[in-house]
Amino acid sequence: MINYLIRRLFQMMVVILLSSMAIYAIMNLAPGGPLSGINLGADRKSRLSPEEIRRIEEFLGLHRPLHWRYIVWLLGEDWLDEVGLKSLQRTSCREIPTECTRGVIRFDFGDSWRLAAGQKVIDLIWFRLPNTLLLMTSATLLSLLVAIPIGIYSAVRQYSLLDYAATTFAFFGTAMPVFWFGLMMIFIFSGPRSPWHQVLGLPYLPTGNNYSLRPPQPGSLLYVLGATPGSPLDRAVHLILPTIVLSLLYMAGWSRYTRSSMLEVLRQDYVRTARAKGLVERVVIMKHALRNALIPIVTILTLEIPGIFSGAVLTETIFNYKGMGRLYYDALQADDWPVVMALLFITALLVVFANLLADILYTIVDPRIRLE
Amino acid sequence: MTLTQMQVQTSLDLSTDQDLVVVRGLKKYFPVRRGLLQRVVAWVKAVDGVSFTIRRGETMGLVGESGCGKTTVGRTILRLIEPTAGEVYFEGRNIFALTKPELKTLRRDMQIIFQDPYSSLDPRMPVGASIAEGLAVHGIGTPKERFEMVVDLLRKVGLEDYHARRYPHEFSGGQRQRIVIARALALRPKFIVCDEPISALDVSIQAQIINLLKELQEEFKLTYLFIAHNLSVIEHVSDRVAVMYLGKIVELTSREELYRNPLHPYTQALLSAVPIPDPTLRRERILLKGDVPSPLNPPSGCRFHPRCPVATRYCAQEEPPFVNIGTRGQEHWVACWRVM
Repeated sequence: MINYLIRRLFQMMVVILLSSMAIYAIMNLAPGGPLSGINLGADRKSRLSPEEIRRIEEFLGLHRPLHWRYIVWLLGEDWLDEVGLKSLQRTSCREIPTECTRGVIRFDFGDSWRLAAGQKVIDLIWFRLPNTLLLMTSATLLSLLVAIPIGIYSAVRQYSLLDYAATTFAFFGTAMPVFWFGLMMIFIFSGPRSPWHQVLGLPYLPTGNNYSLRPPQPGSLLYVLGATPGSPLDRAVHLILPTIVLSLLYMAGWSRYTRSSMLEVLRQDYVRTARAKGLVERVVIMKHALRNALIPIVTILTLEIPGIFSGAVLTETIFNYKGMGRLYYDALQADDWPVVMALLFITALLVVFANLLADILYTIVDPRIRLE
Repeated sequence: MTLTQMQVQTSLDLSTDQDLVVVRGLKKYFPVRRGLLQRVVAWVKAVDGVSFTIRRGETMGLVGESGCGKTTVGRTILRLIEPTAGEVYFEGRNIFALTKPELKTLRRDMQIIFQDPYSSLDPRMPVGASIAEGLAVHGIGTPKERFEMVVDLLRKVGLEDYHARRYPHEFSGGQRQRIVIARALALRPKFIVCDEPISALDVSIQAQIINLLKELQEEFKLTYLFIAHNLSVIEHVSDRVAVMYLGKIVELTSREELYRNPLHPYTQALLSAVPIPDPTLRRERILLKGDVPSPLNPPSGCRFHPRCPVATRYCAQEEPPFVNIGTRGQEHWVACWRVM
């Protein structure tokens, strides 16, 4: 086991290094970039001279050759003057040594260029992370809570009416695009002019955001509940629609996984043996069948962990929810490379660690598996 | 004997106190569903009217090709699957008429050993827990007593007490089958269905398991329904043998009689295919033509007639009754027009 872990950690380091190269290459080799359109539409007077552009490049660190940009991103720039490469440092680093970036390897992702210009990228992420964790865990929990019972039922009563209903629902859930479904939900349930409020007279939901900025309006659910802006209740109400949209998508997958896994297990002789022992059907299903059927589910669930941290780009964007997914989308839009690369790199790290965790968990839930 | 007299006798009213299990007209059809609405388009007649009795303390061998319905018979007798028609009496009680609590009580008396020891033990349960679970369900003993019983059972089947804490994957196929046997014995049943218990094992292990089953039968006064496709094994273990073909029993008699004087052409063909452990001996092989027909659409009349070497035109029209043509003291049931 120890040997296995050491070997795995070594492999993981190689994978992370390779993915950091890929992340860097994707951003830096793609055409465009933050300075590409800087003189577009500018008249003769406001046009920036090559010297001025050079100064901006030195300010952002874009004056470095491509390979040096990668090395500095990875290892930081504080050591450059010691090896006589002071010219590769950014302007601010040359003047104030504490302003130097320390590189991804020391968890310094540099400063944001545009979204929150001058702020540390890591601060931006820390600020957004709790929102995303809240949304993703509630969506994952809700979907599991609904999907696993549905999957069990569908397997035990295969080809029953409810099984067909669940299958149809699952295909609908997977096939339907989130950006469309999210908008439909907003259209139906959100705002004072929604049919939910106009036709049925029920309190409407907020259209987006993490919390209210103004006191709740009469007729809204927030008003009915008396939620003050920024309170936990206020935030919970803002979570309702994005959670439903996301969990519907997840439910579809989870119920199918559970169903097929259960069907596989129910065919086994030890399930028949359990019946022959005289166990009641509920115990046969829950104790013998489900415990074995959940083995692959645990693995898939572990591999979802990176998603819980990196957020749901589409859902967060539709609902203007200030999470990691929305941050990623905004950073891409704004050519804010440090933010984009930081998010991609963190996701890569999480994927690699989640894989290791899945393998270790597998040995715990399945006594047949040993890591050598 | 006229035909009507023969049919009267087919109703098998011979059950006595000797009989532990009486099976009458057992049928199990599986639906074949097709299309969008999953309508039933056909029925697979896995077991189509089977009647026999199993006597106390004997081993009843049930033999036949793959897919002839042997396993379905075994599972339906224990009501692990619900029958389409027919009755099964266990000690005089119709088990298909039992309520769930009554059935649960009866489960103590009837157990099953499956063919594949790799899939018949829960992989996430230590084998001791698997064996003890049945005891716990029926409220037998305290946890400590149950553990002692488990250890006792493990020793009986030739394993050690420390094996109780291990998981199924840590054992070989033969050891697992021993565990499965210990599991089946835990409730002290009267009747065990052995569903091809040795087919998945190495030849070297097969003899050990058979001998173990025989020893346990003597010690615990067990009655077996021994399902197999290997005629040599059946000859070794059985007191009486039933031969199945395509969902029906075609011949049923004592072991000695069957191997000495097989009457049904199918039985004769099967026996002629058994290898003789003597290379100098030559024997006429009866080679059957064609494959086993589909139980979806069995042949008319005698089901064996398309492959039968002695079939007449009449065999294709009328189904032969299953009748006893043996002498007193030596029953010999057969379903063949050419024998009568």
